[in-house]
Amino acid sequence: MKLSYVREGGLFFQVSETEMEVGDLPADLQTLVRKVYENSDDYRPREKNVNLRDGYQYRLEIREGRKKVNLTFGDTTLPDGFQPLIQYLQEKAINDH
Amino acid sequence: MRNHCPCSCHIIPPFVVDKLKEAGVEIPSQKTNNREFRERRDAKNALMRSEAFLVAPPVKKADRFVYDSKTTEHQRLLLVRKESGPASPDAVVNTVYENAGSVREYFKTFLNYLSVDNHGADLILNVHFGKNYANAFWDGDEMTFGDGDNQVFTNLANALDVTAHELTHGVVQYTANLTYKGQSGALNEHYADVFGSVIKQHAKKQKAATADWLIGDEIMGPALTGQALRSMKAPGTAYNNALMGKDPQPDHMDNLYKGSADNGGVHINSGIPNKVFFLVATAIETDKAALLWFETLKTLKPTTNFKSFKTALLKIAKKMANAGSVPATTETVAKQSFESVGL
Ligand SMILES: [Zn+2]
Repeated sequence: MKLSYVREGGLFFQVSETEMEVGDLPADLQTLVRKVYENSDDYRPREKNVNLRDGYQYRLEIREGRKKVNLTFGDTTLPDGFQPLIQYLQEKAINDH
Repeated sequence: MRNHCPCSCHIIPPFVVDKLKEAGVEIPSQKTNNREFRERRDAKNALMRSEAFLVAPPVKKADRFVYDSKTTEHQRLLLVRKESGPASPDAVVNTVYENAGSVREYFKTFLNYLSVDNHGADLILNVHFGKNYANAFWDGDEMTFGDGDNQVFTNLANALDVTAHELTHGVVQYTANLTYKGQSGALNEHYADVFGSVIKQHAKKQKAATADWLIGDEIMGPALTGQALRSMKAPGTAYNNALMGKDPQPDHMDNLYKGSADNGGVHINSGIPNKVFFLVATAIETDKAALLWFETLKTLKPTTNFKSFKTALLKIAKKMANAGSVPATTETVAKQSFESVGL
């Protein structure tokens, strides 16, 4: 299972991205990602905040075989419990860079 | 953040939860936050559509409310300072409170405009948002500031131009409501930078000729001293470092960014109108240019592009020069400034 992460937006032009095997994540984050993969609709924000200015947009893609799950969040629509995952992926994106 | 966890756990660290409980604060889940956000917005929209609002707008007093997010991603978590209330032991809280006051005062005194909506809406400010969150944003209702990562940015609530930038996004939302994509989005960013710089110059008692025209230079991390988020005087030269890359802003239509990133380059192409503002302000003084820009904003449509912005601004310049509120040369100066960036 592969996970792709892109963070765009912010006060200035910046794009951070990374890709990794879900199996290489710390155990608690692996559990979260597998849960999201199985029940993606539960995590999809109900609406996009069209008035968000300078906020970050986070895009996650989880794929295994032919199945692909895509989710997009803004700073005000990030689900509870996602902060550690985003922080991990953002640090990885910086290190990859 | 929405809470999907079947247990009652919170992302807020337990010691913070305990402290908040001691203080009698109920911690909402992000689901509650989102619902409250939607309810507030629906009520506000219903009020704005109501006949009573149109006939006699309710006048509030643009009161400031500062909330501490306690390094969580919750907004309006803990109220730590309100209008006329005592100062906080937290210097960041007091700085953002004072800075929001300076922005409010400038819009009121020089532009005859009260708060973000000209009806005196409360000014909501959240500080200490997220962990090492190196950003600030306007979300349609309120301003939110992170503490910075201490590499790219220090605390974003400490700079007057950043607070003015975010609050101006609110003003734009309630006036032209420029669509946040492509050239109209770049104009939205441009206006936020204009009043960020104008209000900073006013507070520092600077003139157009002596100002640095930098945005965000006071929040740069320790290794990036002397750099900034943007330069209105010389777009494309604000930063060049390993952490941020190189400033991609063009200063001429020949180099207009046409890609899809950053909502079609809203933070990139704003360099072009930013340069125009710098040139006009240098010729007629910053406060006069700010007045011209603000009067123009009130006439723009959400889909305004750079070309139609030029047309609208020249029309207002002529009108204001005839009324004596800007120098007689303004229309000519503005036309030349637009031409110099390829417009
Ligand atoms: Zn902005």
